[in-house]
Amino acid sequence: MKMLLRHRLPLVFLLIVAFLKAAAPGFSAEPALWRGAVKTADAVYQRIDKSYRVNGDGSFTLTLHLRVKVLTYKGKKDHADFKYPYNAAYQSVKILTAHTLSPSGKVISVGSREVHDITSPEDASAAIYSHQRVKVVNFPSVTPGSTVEITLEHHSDRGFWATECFQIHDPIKLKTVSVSLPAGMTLSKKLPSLLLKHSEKIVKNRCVFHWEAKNIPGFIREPLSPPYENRGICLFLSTFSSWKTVSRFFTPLFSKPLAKEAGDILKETAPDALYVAFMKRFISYPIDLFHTNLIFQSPAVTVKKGYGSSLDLAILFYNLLEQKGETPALLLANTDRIFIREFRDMPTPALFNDVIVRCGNSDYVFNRRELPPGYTGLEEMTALDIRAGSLTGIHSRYPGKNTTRLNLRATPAFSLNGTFEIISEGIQAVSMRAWLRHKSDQEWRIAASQILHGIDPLAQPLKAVVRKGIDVLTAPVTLQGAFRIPRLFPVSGVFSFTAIPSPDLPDGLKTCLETRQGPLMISRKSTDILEEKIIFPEGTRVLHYPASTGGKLKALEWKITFSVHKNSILFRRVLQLNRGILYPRTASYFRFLKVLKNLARPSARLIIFEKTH
Amino acid sequence: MNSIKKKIAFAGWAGIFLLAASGGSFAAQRPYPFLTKITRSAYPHAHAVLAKEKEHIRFRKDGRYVDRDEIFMTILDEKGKQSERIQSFYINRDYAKLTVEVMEVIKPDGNAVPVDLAANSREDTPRSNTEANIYDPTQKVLKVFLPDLQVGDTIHYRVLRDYFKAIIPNHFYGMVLGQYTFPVRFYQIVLEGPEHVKLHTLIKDRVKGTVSYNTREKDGRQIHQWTFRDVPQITPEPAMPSFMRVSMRLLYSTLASWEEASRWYAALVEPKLTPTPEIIRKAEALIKGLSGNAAKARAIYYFVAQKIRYMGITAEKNRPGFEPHAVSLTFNRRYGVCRDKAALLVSMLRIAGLKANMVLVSVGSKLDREIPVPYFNHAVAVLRGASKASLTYMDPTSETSKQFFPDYERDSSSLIADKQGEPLRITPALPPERNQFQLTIRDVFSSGLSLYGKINGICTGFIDTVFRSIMMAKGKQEREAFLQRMFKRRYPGIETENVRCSDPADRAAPFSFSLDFRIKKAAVSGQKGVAFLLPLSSMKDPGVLDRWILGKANMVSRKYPLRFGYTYKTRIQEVINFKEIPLEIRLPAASNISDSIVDCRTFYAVRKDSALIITREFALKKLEVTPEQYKQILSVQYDRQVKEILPIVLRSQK
Repeated sequence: MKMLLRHRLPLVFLLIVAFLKAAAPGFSAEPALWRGAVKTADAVYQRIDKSYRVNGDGSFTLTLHLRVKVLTYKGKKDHADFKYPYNAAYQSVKILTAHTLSPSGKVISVGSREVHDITSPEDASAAIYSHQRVKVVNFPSVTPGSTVEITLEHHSDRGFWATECFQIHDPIKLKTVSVSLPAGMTLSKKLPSLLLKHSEKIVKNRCVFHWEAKNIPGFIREPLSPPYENRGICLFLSTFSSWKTVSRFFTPLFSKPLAKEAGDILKETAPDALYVAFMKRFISYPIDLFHTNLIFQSPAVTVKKGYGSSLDLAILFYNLLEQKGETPALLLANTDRIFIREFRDMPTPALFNDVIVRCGNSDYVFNRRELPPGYTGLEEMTALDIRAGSLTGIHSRYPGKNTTRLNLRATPAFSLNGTFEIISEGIQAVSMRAWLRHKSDQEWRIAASQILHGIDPLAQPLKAVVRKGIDVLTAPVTLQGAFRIPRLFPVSGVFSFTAIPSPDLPDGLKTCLETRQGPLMISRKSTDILEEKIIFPEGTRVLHYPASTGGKLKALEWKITFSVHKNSILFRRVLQLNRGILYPRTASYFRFLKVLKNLARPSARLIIFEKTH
Repeated sequence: MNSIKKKIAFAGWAGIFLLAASGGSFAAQRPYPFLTKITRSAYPHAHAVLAKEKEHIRFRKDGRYVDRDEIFMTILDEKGKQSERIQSFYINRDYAKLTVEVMEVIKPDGNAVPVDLAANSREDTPRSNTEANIYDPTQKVLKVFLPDLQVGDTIHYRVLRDYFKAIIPNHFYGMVLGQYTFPVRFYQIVLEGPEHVKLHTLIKDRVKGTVSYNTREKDGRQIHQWTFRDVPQITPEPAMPSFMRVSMRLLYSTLASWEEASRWYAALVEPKLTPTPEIIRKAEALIKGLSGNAAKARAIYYFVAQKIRYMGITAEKNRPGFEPHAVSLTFNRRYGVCRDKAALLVSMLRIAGLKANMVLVSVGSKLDREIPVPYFNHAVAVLRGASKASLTYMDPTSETSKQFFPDYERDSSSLIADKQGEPLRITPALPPERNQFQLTIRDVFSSGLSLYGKINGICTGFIDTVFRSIMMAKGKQEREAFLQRMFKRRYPGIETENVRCSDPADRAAPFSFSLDFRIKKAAVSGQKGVAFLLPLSSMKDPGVLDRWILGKANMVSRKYPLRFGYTYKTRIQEVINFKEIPLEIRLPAASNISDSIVDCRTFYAVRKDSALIITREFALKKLEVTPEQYKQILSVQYDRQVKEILPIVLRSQK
């Protein structure tokens, strides 16, 4: 969504759909399917007409006409306030007409006080670099049954690319997209997985492309859905013929030689050490590449200010590496976790929103502070190497991994004494460090109290919780502690009970439904290890514990082992999630769900022991 | 510092600013010897220290005033640097203008580097406004990005705020904090005004030995001076009460009473309440055929709440941001912010012959009663009954609720706008029974260790409000998926289908839902025909608010009170029928907790037909608990944790 909005074509106006392979007429849902879609809809896009007129220099004018019928309260909330983001540095937006049609057919015009042009709230923390603005139109007197209608003109000077989604959350009765460009000008296209009605003709030395689809049902919002770009519902367009031409678009933006006055500001020479010192020295204000004016600070200015956008910092770091005799490269990346590999044959600048610097086998990012050098958080993703003009895999040296070790021992004093150790690596370490670093003693006492509470609400420290690796960026973050719980295991008759914690999975996975409709994305690889040793009271024996198990699916690998010795039990669970997209209603999706259920079900985690005398 | 302090000090209404580059005229004040005292060893727990602040406020009889504030803030570590790297100045051009007279960074060697404001600042629209669907061109925030800020540096600035228009004509009031999340080495504030104007002042939650006060008169002016020295920082705990309630603060006001503020607001809003013939016709149509005031009030309330969308365009003439638009505009365009919607509601209630007023509310916090500092952030309506004490608060901003007044506005300070004047009140909290979530489960335990049956849920009060607000923001299919996921979260492995829920837009009945479920392997089998059943009622956090509200208790001990902010009750009853009647059902021992803070109880009963009835109740009765009472909350959490894993033991063989 964010990605789409960035590229001047707000999601609300992007549509498409797929399924049909029939050629000429393009997609149109079966009448019964369409009627069903409208019946449950909150609003229906009656028309979306987008017409691009592209000039020889790549500038273009888009005329957008949109008509939406509001059917419910939710439809009113979604459509009564129209928001259209754009970049004021190289784009302009003019509202041509806007009005509400009441259910009785009365036209209520939008007044001048109901049109606003505001700064983009999403860039509030990097406002100084943002040129992103939002045109807001407040439609008056909107009620269920009203229709809102708007026509606007949008002009852009910085090249043509567009993302047109033909399926969104509300059904679309008709969407048309036409592009007119000088004959001979390249238009790269990536079509959605459904067939659109399409025509192509030459009119007065201009080539005119037209696509349309009708009666397209909406789709529901579901957790862990992949970005729109990876759902097969969008038409991608650009006048770039190859990744090399995309690179040529970006190259001049980032060509900022290091001025003499920037000097040798940091004495470190090894890239990793330089990166750590650099990120300590300079403040980064992360911002989407296309929310800036595409004119970046010179390294000298960044040095002088001591701060810059994440892009400015990448440029300065690149130059410092060059100055120190390295041969770095600038890579354009996407932080919305889009699978860019699917776009190998669709060159477009639209996929990128950030810049990273490559030096040797290490990639460095600048959108977050206190990262270990060589950590990008973008492992297994793809970037564009500006110099090479080709796509390349992003490196990240620190895979995400969490290891928890817990020892619990019943004491004769009717309490449980325990120790814990939590080791976080990769993304987990980054999050843990962000929480725990730079805490005063008083703040740390609060955090330690929270950590203990995470073990058990009644846990009391037997010794202070220890944190390690907080200040060594390359090290895992380790938390260790010893505690006492003034209770024994819960008892019922001769039986006592405990349970293995539920797997630490994202909420969207824990709550995955059998009836899911859209694809599910696991955005990054991560490993979670839990080792637990429990020593039960003397005079007891373990009656029941879950079976050891293991397996491997495309999205998930797991191995669970138990071993029991007299009155103790040792448990180890390794879960590894793999990056990828799972499609619902497929055998692999149901297998995945079955494994998740078997791992998380309460009875599958129950341990029972009983008194022997 | 500025971002924390000034937001509180003028609560979002300030004004136009002018930028002035820092000049060398302040060089004479250098060096700053007091800065040498700001060291890590002197302030071992601080990220930054307010080394010195001198604020001088000169007010006039008509309520206008000029505030000159000079601040030295020293950065002691990376966290201090990150939190102070952008200085934000909120301004409202309708009321004030702001001039940044000095902005510089003083290096540890005493060298002051002026900040080029043109190159390092940006005027922005406050994010909170646009996120709330409010479009006010006069509300701005000036953000200064401090260049080359390093640990050890001191941020020095001086700003002049000229409040050229008083919010309450002829009155001057405010509140400043003397204690923050960082230590205050020195803060001096002077209030200076005409000697014949009575200024009421008070220091609340005084930190002993840190404040001195003196007053004098000079040239027909009264001068009050407070000096705060070496005030320790507060290290905030999660979910503690509002900072404004626990930190040392200075209150000042020329308002003699809250009644005076009440009269002012009444005078401001009353002219806006005049209905048009269309509004009268609509109100009459809404109440046609209805008997009783309650039914009439309900019909009008739901019209304003649901049909007028929350959206703000601040363009009032008199007191922008405080006065409502004329009700005709709100009615005709079908939109408005809280005060616009409240005004239309009051106007229409009056058409129906009901006595109603507008009310200012300080949502989520309580104002100090002693000194009238009307820092309200919301406007609602109140319906008045026959007796003075009969007050029904109504908030039409809540578009989706069945409740007239959502619980997040309860236990908050409020002031009824009345030409006779009204005192400051607290909006009443509800007993937990009024905010109830009730689950009824009828299921069957089969020989295959599975459990299947039906869940019915019904909600009242704030639980109903929460469900409706979630459901009305979702499409129909998304609502069903939401309910299914809710139970997946609470009992992993559950499979659900046939989801039904009431129409959340229909306020005639409480929100309710039902779904069928199946849990494969709800039990584990032991030896000798023994099975250990984990019933659905043992689910984790069964209540809708449990994770959110009880989850605020996330430390093993506390220094400050914990504010839950809500009372609520959850009741689950599960009736388990057995496909094969067990020879013996062994039930866990009861471990019930019941006192003035919570009820946490589980009852078991076996019917004659051997059906097992499990009743689980939880009620949170307090909005806030002391650190001592907090231990009880931990016991409750432990108890709930135990109930998740304590099975019913079934024996089917001799």
